[in-house]
Amino acid sequence: MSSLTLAPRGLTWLVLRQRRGAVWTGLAGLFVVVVQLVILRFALLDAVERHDLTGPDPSAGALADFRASYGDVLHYNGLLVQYLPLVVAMIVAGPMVARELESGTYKLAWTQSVTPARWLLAKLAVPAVAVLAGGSLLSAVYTWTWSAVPHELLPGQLWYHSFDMLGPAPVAGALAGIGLGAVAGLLVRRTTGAMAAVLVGYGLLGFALGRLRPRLIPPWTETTPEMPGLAGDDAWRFERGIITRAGERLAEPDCGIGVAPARCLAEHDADRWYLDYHPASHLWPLEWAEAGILLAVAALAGAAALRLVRRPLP
Amino acid sequence: MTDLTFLPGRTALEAVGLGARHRRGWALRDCSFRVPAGRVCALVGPNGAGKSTLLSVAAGLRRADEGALAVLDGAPGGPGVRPRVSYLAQEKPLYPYFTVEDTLRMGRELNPGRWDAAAAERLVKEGNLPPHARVGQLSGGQRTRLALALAFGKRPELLLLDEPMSDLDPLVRHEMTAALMTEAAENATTIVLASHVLAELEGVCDYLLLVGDGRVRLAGEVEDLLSAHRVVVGRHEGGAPPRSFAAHTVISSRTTGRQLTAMIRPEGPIAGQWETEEPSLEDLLLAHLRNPGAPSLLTPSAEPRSRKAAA
Repeated sequence: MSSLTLAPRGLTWLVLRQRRGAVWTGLAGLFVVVVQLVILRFALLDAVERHDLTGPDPSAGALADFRASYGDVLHYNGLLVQYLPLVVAMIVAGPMVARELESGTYKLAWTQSVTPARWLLAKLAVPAVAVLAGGSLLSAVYTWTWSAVPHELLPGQLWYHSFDMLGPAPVAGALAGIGLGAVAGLLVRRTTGAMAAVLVGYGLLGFALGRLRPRLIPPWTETTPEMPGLAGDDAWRFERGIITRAGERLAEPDCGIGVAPARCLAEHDADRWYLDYHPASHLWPLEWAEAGILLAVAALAGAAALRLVRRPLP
Repeated sequence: MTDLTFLPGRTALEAVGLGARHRRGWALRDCSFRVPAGRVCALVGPNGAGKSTLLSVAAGLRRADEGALAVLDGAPGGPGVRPRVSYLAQEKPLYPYFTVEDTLRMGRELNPGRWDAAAAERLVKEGNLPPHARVGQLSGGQRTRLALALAFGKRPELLLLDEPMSDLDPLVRHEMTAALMTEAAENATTIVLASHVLAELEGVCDYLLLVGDGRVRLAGEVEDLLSAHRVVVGRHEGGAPPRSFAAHTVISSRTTGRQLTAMIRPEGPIAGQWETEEPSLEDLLLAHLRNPGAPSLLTPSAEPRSRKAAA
C-alpha cells in the first residue's frame, strides 16, 4: 500500500491508522447500505407498477401490503442517514480527541515535528473528507430511493417528516458534528464524558433547528373565513390561527373543545383564519438554508476548537 | 550536524524568572538558570519539585505563567524548535494498539526530513522487540526502549527525558544509559534527564540542575559544583556550629557524639583541625535536599545571559 503514490502521509496516515477499525467498518457499512438502497429503489418501483398503486383505483389490500413491506425498510434506512451526524460527532469527541488527552498520548503526537494545531486540523479534516465523500453518497442514494415513491403511498415518509434524512442537511450536520465533537473532546477531556456532552449538545442544536425550520424561508400563507384543514396534499401545514380585526395573529387560539370555529372567531374578535404552510416545492430551499446554518456552526466550532488547542494545558 | 550543535557558548535551555502554576499553587517560581548546549544535565529534585513541569514547558506542551524559557534560543514548541527537541514523558505514552513497526512509522511520518530510521531500528533490534507485537503487550522495559527509539530517531539537538529509567531492571538500565551516552557523544545531543535515582546520575551527567520547592537550588558543571563544596569532619563539642565556620556557607552539619560532619561552601581556608574532602555527587545532592533553606548556587555558565545583559 505504501508504494501507491496516493498512500496517506504524515498526520493523515496517523489519523487513519488510529481509526483503522472505524475506516473499514464505515466503508463496509456504506457499501452494504448503498447496495441495499439501490435494490430497494427498484423493488419499490416494481411493486408500484405491479399492483398499479398509482392508478386511479388501487386496491386497499395491495396498498396496505405495500406499506407493510416497504414503509419500515425505507424508514430505518432513513434513520441511518439521520443519525449519521450524531455518530460522527461522538466518534470525533470521544475516541479521536478526548481519549488522546485522557491517556496522555497527545504528548507523543505534539512532541514530534507537528504543532498541536496541525494535529487537530488533521483530526478535523480526515473525518470531514470522509463525510463529504461517504456521507454525500449515502444521502444522495437515500434521497434517490426515497423519491421513487409517490408521496401518497407512504404518508409516513412525506418530505417534511424525512427532512433530516434528505439532501445536504445530514452532510452539513455531520460536518457540524465534527466541529462540535472536537470542542467537546478538548473541553471535557474524558472519552465517555465528551461523547455524552456532544450527544446533549448536538441534540440541543437539532431541537433548535427543528423549531427554527419553518421560518428558514418565508412560508406561504392562506387566509380564509372558514377554518382550514390540516390534512390534504403534501404541503407542510405547520401553523394555523386566526387574525383579529386589529390585524393581530393568534396561533392555535384556545376556544375550548367543541366550540364551533365561527364562534371561536367571534370570541377573539377575529374575522379570518390563516394557515402558514410550505408547499413541497420548498423542500430544497429549506434544505439548503438549514445546511447553510449547519455549515456556519461547523466553521465556528472548528475555529473554536483550534483556539482551544492553542491554550495551555496543565 | 555535529559542528552545528557543538558550539561552545550555545544555549540549550535558558530560564529567566520562569514560573508555572498548577491547581494548588506554583509548580515553579522565579526560576533562572542556563544549560549550555552539548551537556548531559541531571535535573534533580524531590517528588513534586517541579521537574516534570519544567520539562513539559520546555517540550512546548504547556506554557509558562510567568517569565520565560528559551529552548535552543527559540520559544518552546515554536516552529523552528519543536522539530529539534525530543521529549519522553514520565508515563511513556504510546498508542497501545499500534505495533512496534507502526510506532516507528509514526516517527517517520511526523518528522519528515529528520527521521533517522537506522538509529531507531537499531535500538529496537538490540532489545529484540518483535516488530509486529502490539505496544500494549510489551513489558514496561520494552515500552521504554521503544519510546527512547522514537526519541532518538528524531535526531534531536535537545533530548528531554522525564524519569526515563524508573521502570527498567538494572541490566537494561545500564544498557539504556550506555545507548544514551553513545547518542550524546556521537551527535553532541544535549540531554536533560530528570531523575530522583541519584545513583544513576553519577558518572553520566556533567551538568546539574537541582530544583526544590519550585526553585533552582544548584546549577552548573558537576565538577565545579563539587569543588565548591567540602565535607568537613572533625572533633567538636557543644551544640552550636564551630565559630570557624562562620566565614563559610554551611549546607548541613551533624554531630555524632564528639564528631561533627558538615557540608560547607568554603569562602577561603578553613581554620582549625579539620579533615576536608570533596563530596560525592550523591552527598552533595542529599545535603541540599535535606536542607531546603541552604542558599542556592549557580556557576557562571549556569547564569542566564539575558538577565546579565539586562542588568
